[in-house]
Amino acid sequence: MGIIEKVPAYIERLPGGGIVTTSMDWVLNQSRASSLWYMLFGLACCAIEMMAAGASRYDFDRFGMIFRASPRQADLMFVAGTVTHKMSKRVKLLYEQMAEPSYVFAMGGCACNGGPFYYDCYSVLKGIDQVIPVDIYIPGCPPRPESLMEGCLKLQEKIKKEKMSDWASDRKEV
Amino acid sequence: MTKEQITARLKDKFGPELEIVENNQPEPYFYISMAKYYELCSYAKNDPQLDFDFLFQLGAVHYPDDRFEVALCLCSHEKNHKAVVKVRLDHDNPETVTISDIWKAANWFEREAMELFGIGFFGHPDPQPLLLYDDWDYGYPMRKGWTGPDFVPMPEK
Amino acid sequence: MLEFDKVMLELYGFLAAWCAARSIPLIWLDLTVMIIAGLIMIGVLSLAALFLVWWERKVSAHLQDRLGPMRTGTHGVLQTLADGIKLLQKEDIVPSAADKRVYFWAPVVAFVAAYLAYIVIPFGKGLIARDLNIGILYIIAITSFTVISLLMAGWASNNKYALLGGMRSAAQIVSYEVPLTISVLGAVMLAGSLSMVDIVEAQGPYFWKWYWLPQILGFGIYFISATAEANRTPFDLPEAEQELVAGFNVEYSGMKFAMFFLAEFVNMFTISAIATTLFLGGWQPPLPGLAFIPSWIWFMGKTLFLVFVLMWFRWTYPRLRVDQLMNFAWKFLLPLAFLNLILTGLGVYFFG
Repeated sequence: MGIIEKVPAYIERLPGGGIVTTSMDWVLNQSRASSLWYMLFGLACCAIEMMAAGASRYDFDRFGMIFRASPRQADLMFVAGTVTHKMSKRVKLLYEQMAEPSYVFAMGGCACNGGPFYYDCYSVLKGIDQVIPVDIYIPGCPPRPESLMEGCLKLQEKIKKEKMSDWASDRKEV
Repeated sequence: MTKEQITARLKDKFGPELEIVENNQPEPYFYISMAKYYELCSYAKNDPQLDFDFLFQLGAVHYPDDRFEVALCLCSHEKNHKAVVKVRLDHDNPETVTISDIWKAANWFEREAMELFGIGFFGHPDPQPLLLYDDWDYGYPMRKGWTGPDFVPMPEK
Repeated sequence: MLEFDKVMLELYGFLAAWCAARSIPLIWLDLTVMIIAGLIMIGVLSLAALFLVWWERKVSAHLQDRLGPMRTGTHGVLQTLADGIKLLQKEDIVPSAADKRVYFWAPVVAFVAAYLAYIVIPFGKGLIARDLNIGILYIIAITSFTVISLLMAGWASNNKYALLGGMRSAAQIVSYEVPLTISVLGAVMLAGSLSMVDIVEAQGPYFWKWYWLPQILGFGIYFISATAEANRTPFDLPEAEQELVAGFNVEYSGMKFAMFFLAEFVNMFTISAIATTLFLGGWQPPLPGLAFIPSWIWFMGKTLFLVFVLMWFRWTYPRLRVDQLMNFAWKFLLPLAFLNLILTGLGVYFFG
């Protein structure tokens, strides 16, 4: 995607080019924010809360988020549950399989910083952000579906602030 | 069989090697010496009156005063009774005999104890690590006083 | 006023006279008309696929007592558009050990196979791209095209789950084509022709004379086989999420995945359209008194109703295992289809 990355920077320099880039930004960001397909990476108890959030009473599909099993087709990964050292390599592998642009939620205390397993534990990774970059942290043990939805809405706000001219610097090193 | 009957039957067979622990649980707790450990287990399984056909837990213990023990929880489906058998191990060189040929379930329990505590089991058919990840070389994590690279001990109050 | 066939014929006559006045050979007019018709068809079908994706999400949500997309546009009508634009922005991943050409062409083949069937589907009175006199045979041939694309996708992804999904899917589609073809033959025998327009016109504008009533067994067998052809639940093991991690399209991302996704919905529309044409009277109104409503509205209404039934099936029935699926096709549907054929043949022979 070499030359396309430089196009927004050039358009911005034209007179009135700012309007083009900001409207394009708006359209692209809106579409990405309203159609976040998540890959359920439920490892432990937080997975139950995530399933509850996707079910009837608190519905994720209202925001356009549907569940895709394969990481290639997902753009959001909920790391829900305790991540052990043994599992962390596989989490990293799955994160690298996701197609850009992709986002990660650290759901629950264990994924944020080790949670209740922070002290006196040999096997739990103290926070998933030691292996993959995290966008949103949702504390709780487990967080209620309403908290999860607040996190999703915050992620939508974060996406809507992204700019096209950041494309060149955003590519992930694989 | 009741708790007293199980105690009486095992005491008849094993006499001084068996040590009975007083408790107010419905199941009897015994300490057995290391020499008679295998014999007790096979007797418990094969005796038609005791009939302990199910080992539902085998765990290792490391006390703060540096004693190692192995504890077995046995249960009988037909006769509907339970018992707990413990054996004391040498603290410099904790080793004992495997009982995985008596109860198949002991296979994985013993692998876990080998990996996390460093207890050796003679004659184990498959002494591989079970739970820790592949390039683990930081010692035996469940021993008291173990520290590792990512370990944060609970702060004293 | 909305009778398209008269409007089209008049327009064609006018343009033909215009060409003759300027002595342009008629072939250019025909060619232009064909290209424009093709483009209109692709446009209409893409819109239909867009609508169906939204509708599936809403229907499935309401069947599960939840709401479905609500935020993007009122009641989520712009959701498919958002999905499409998002999929355009995704990185296009090609696995390094994949067979690159086959990997690239598999979604294209799936898409083309889905769209080619629409050449012979009568959307209304006179609204058919080409009235081939072997219409239904052509459609059955084209719908077997999808097997190739699934095998290509499964093989080229270089992934054991994709391969398993592709193989299972190929086995399923090929097995269910046999009862499908035989059940279709019943309707063809009653109409006496393979042409789609002849079959619709032979059914007449009375709903008790449409072929769903004399061919009730054939209709049932057709609909079940067609559900399996389109890889829909209860026959969607090839793309089962729990077992096969999305099956043959596990390695596809971005626009290629969108092509498979859209091809599935277009397929769904195709099989409903064929069922409507063969068994529910196509564009005929149920009573002659209702003929003031344009024929294409009747066609779309009946087809969308059958699409709704397909979506209903998806969220009502559990999934069949692959061996149960094959048993069902070969040991249950096929003998029933033969029975249907024999009874129809005897009926046509004795009762004319």
